[in-house]
Amino acid sequence: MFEQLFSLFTLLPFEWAQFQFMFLAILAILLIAPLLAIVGTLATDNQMTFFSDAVGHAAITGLAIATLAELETSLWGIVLYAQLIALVLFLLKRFSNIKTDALIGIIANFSVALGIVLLSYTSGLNRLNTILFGSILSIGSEDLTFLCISALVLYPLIIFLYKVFWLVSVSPTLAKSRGLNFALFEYVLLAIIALVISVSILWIGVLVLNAMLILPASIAKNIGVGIKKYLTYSIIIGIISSVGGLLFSYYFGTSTGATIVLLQTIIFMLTLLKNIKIKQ
Amino acid sequence: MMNIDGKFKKFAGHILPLIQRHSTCYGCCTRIDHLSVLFGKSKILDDIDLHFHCTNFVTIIGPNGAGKTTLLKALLGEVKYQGSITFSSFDAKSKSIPTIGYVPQKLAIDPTSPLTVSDLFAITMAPFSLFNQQQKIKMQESLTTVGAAAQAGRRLATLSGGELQRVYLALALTPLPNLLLLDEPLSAIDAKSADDFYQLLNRLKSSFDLSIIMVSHDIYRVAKYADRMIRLDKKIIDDDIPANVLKKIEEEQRNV
Repeated sequence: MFEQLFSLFTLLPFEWAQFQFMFLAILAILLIAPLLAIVGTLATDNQMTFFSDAVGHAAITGLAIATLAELETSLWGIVLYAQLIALVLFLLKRFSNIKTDALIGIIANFSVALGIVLLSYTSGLNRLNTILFGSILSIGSEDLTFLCISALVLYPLIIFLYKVFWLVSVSPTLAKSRGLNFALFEYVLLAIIALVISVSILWIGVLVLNAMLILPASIAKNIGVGIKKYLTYSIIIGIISSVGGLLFSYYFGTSTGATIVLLQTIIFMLTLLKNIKIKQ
Repeated sequence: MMNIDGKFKKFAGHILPLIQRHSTCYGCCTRIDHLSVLFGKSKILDDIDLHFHCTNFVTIIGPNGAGKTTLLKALLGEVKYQGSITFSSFDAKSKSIPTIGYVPQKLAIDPTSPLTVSDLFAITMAPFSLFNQQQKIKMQESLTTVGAAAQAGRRLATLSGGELQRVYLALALTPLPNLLLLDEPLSAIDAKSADDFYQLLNRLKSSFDLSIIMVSHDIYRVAKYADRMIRLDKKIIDDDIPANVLKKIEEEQRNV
């Protein structure tokens, strides 16, 4: 299927359109960017950006475990470890009195430490590079198929539960008075954020992924009022800035994830001017 | 006044027939038997027996940590409790789950949140589906009932304390509840707005035969409007008309 699409893609009158790696990278970006943008609108308004950062860092441990267990793809290690973290955090948050940010800090740093110890034990520290910086230009068609399947599950699920997540974040008691089990949805949101992060981390990189989650939502917040506009702007900005960043990184030979984040930060600063003007 | 009352009747016209079919008192009565709530090893509520009727405005007062909010949470089913809470209609003796409206003290609305008033209604009224035209009309009716019709498009973070409480009240009235619970809704509101809010509550009570239970700190103001005052401090200390409860409190203070 990708082959046929690629032959269409090569008809574009650009140099980069002749390369299959660019074609696969653009497809991957088109799947990942809106996903991160949507989840970003939920995470920034639920004080969960610290959690998403922690899950990103935990990918190092996932990678190490996959290396240790000699899994064929490291993705499974990353996905499973991220889910484990979501579950542990949810349970500790519910059944202990420790403050959430302290909990997340402990879990994140423990994970990074464990990951580094395991990687150095298996002499696999050189694999850190791929996960820290991401390598979307090396994505293969099998990886892309996996990404497509994840997207097919995640998009409908998130869209169906989107308003419930808002309700639960605004007031658990309000949700309860409407007969909704807020604890369940809180957990589902954690699990979804963890899944979104873990399927995109190998391509975007631990160091900048969280920015791709926060920035489109923050930009949208500067220019839109109401959930609908907030979400729409966030998706549009996510897509445009990510494809733009990918093309910049092609022309300048820079790391893709970081270039996207720089571009998004510039857009954020421009919209911030508008925000400041309105306040005055 | 006439205008608002007219709207009440129109609103009530839609809903009352539905409630009447199930009950002769247009609502429910709520019975709490031997209710205790434990938090860890300490007892927050100890063997509470209460009975609430419709068309009755009950206020719950008491010091901090007396278990007032916990009692509301037990009614909402949000905390585990021992004992029983039953909701029943007068005629049929049928135990049923009533519609409970809840007005929070304040919601954790981030000042930068893009959430608007109509978003709040959309996520509450239609969490799993599209916010349809019918629901939008209901939202406008409720907002009109509480005198907040103009706020629908505004961001929650830009509303004043009084405006916000009216919006929360409108939300609790959609759909029209049997039991309306309010948790210190007026703690951040000026005196004039508070009086207006109480008058509004009393009008709603008689228009819709609501059973209202309100936790309050401002005991002298709430006493002017409530029908019954319950003084709570883990147990029920007093349960009487507000004037008598206040008299007792004053006597106690004189003795001290």
